[in-house]
Amino acid sequence: MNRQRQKAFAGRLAAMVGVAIIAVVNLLPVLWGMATSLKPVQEILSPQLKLWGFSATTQHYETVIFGSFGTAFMTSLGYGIAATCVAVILASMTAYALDRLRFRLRQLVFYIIVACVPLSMGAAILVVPTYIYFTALGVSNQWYTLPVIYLALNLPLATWVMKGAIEGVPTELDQAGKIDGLSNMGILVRVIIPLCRPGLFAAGMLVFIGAWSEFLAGSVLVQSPSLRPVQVAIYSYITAFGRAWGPLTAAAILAVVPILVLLFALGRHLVSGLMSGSVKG
Amino acid sequence: MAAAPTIRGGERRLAALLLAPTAILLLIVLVLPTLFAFVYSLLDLRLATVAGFAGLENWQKTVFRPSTVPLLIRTAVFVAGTVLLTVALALPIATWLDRLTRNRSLAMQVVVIVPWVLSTVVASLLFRWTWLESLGIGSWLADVLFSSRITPLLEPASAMVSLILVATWRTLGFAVLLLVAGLKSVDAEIYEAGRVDGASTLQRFWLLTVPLLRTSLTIVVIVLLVSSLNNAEVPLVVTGGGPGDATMTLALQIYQTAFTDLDFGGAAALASAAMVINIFLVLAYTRMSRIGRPDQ
Repeated sequence: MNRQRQKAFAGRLAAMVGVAIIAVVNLLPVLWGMATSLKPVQEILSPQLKLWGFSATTQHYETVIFGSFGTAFMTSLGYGIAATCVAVILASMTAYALDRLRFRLRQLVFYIIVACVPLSMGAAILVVPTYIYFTALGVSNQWYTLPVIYLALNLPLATWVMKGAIEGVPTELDQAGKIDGLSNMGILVRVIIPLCRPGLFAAGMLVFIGAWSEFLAGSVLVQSPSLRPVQVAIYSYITAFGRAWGPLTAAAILAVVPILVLLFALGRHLVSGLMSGSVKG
Repeated sequence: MAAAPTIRGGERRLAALLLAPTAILLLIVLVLPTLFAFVYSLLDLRLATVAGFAGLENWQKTVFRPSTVPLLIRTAVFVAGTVLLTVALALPIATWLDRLTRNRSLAMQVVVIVPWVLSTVVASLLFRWTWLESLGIGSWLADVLFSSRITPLLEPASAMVSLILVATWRTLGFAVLLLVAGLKSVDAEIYEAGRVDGASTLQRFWLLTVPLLRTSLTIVVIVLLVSSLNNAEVPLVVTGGGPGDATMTLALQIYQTAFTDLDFGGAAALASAAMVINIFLVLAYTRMSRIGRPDQ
């Protein structure tokens, strides 16, 4: 009895240590970045380690918010929201067709979309030919260039997540809808979509995070400062300011906040969506 | 079947209509660039405009040259190091999360995935500032423990190790989630049977968990291979490829050949070579995902 209790205690202790290690390893860099972003320059350069108890300043935040980063933040917000809304609609349409409609080559189309999931991760390779032919066609450096690319890069994954969600809706409900006189599109919009809300959240979050986080295409396919996305603005602080860790961490923290808020509010959907899609690095 | 030809036709037309926008987008952004990489690698490009046919000149300039061998070796070290370390850490963490209660497991999954939702640029930046810079926490710890500050980014070997650590930190949570998903589909009774038969925890892990997770593990490995092979952001932000060329990987080399050296033909040749590896991995991925089998 006593030994068993000891063992249970040891188990719980090990679990707590595990939780602590993972939390520290994953969150410490964010906290350290946050501390740095609030320190005046002399304190940043001081070798003394201070996570708190320093004289806080908002000067770095002012620098980045009123600098190029502020513009880029709003631009990326626009890109992300546009890509997310369109992707969720297109993914639902595609997933519905692949799951509920009978047509030739259905298997092949699904196969191609799944193949596009890992293919879309090869941005470093794709960006070279994309840059060359977008420039030739005059469609680079336009307001629609990056949202279209972000939409397309994240669409395969969103489609796969939505396919999983739609699969989970019993086809008997389609039949009931049909009897009530609904068309195919009516069934999709009125019957299936309302039942796929967790899938929609998951797909939407994945697209938004993907669009918000993209760097390579954003760094070369647009040149106008007003079209520059947020990750490129952050990176530009590395080269422009050398070792200016104050503005750099302030920009990084500001870019991370919307994502972390999203994660802690809707993380469950994201996690389950990732698992159902099973998927992307 | 033949009874309702009009409905069938209508369904087919609707399917075409629903699929068209997605098909067009994927064609423009994913499929055409894949094909064009090979085409451009054979053309003479002045900046980004076509000036004529180049034959294999681009390939000779950037691919078939002696320095490609060390480039591939460095890339292989980075990719293999990241994939192995990630899987080695993800397996025990996933097994542990699988044993927690549902709510605790979900909460932990959200914490575990944090570095993955930070963008690669931000994650690399914050990791570098915290653990790799002389003013960071890592250096401070080294000072406290061994009374010497560390500057891992200044030495070739430790710079490569740093790169692997950053990439692993970012993708670990993702690998854990996929493995937890895989573990869910494994029947709990098998573990119970293992326990009844007197298998130790370690034996159950090696003899039951690992073999039963084979499909999930393979998918995780393929995805990690693709993502680390194509990862230009981590070396770009953490080391910039240095010191010297010590951390210059294939993805970063392609990016810099095109957008720093402005040699688009040469970059296209390198990209095509990398694309061959990618296509191979993509095919392996689709096969493992078992979507070839008809549903219903």
